[in-house]
Amino acid sequence: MLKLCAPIAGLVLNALTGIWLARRRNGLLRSLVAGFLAGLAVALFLLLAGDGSASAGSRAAAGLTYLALGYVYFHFVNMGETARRIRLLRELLAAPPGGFTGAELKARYPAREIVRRRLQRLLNNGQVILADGRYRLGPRPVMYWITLVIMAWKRMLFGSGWNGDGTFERLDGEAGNE
Amino acid sequence: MKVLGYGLGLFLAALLAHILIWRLRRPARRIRVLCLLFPVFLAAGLAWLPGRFGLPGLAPSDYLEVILLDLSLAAAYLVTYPALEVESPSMLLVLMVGRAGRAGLDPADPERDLDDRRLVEPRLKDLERSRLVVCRDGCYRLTPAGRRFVGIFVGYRNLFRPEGGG
Repeated sequence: MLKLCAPIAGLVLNALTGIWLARRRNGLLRSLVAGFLAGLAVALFLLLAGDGSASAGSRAAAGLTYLALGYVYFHFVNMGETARRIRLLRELLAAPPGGFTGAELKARYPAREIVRRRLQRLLNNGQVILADGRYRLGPRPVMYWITLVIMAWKRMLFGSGWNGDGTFERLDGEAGNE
Repeated sequence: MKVLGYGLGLFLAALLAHILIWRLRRPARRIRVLCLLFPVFLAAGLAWLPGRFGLPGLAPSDYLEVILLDLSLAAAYLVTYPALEVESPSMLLVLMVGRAGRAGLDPADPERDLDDRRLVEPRLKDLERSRLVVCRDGCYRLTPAGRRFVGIFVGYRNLFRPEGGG
């Protein structure tokens, strides 16, 4: 039973630690990473110190479950902070009763701002560096490698619809991106 | 090892089915189909496979562990999937920089290439298609579903604010 509880207990501690640290004015990313590690430590402790009858495979399964749950949780919090859809919905939540026109929405959340914020984040994390007035990849461009993997997965899933330059025109206008 | 084997095996089988379906005939309601695909494979696999074809049986507690592992992996894939369908600005940026190579990317290029038409308008269309937003008389408003949806994120986001949100 402990094998089943370990990932859940880890996730709960992950969330509580992250919230507690963020409210004490630590950065959000730092709080989330610390929360994730605290949850991992608890999950591992429960798995290793608890049920002696658990096999290595069963412990590995529980560990993998925690990693997956931790990833989902991180993604959920991150979505609330950075996803464009959520940001547009938040703007509309604060809109007057008549709502906003497309132009008003774009003025409140312009592409220019989206690009600047993300570039700044990439610079802050060392994924991109600015040298001699030009952007180049940082020394350990993990984000670039992840992007290449996602591009390869896209090509495998969508085949010819993929136009190869980071865009995916053929899906535009298709319903189903709920 | 059997919990890991069943959990990973059923997840990978559903993933393979997902790839085949998407290559043969991409469904119109892709997220909905994906949300069904993983639990259907899990339920069918657990109902049919244990103790057959030389595979080991599962104790009742093993079933719960397999279900938790499989659904956690499926959830991880599901939250990543939208990044496959839409253009993520961060990924586009890092790709532009990567493709510029040693010569580097002119700082003016991203703002010129990634404009409202590419980054904002498709997201607004998505929101309309998902019925989270409605456009009437040229004005966008939240639907009740949109209000509930964004409320979850706003509420949770407020938990992280030192002043308790607002």
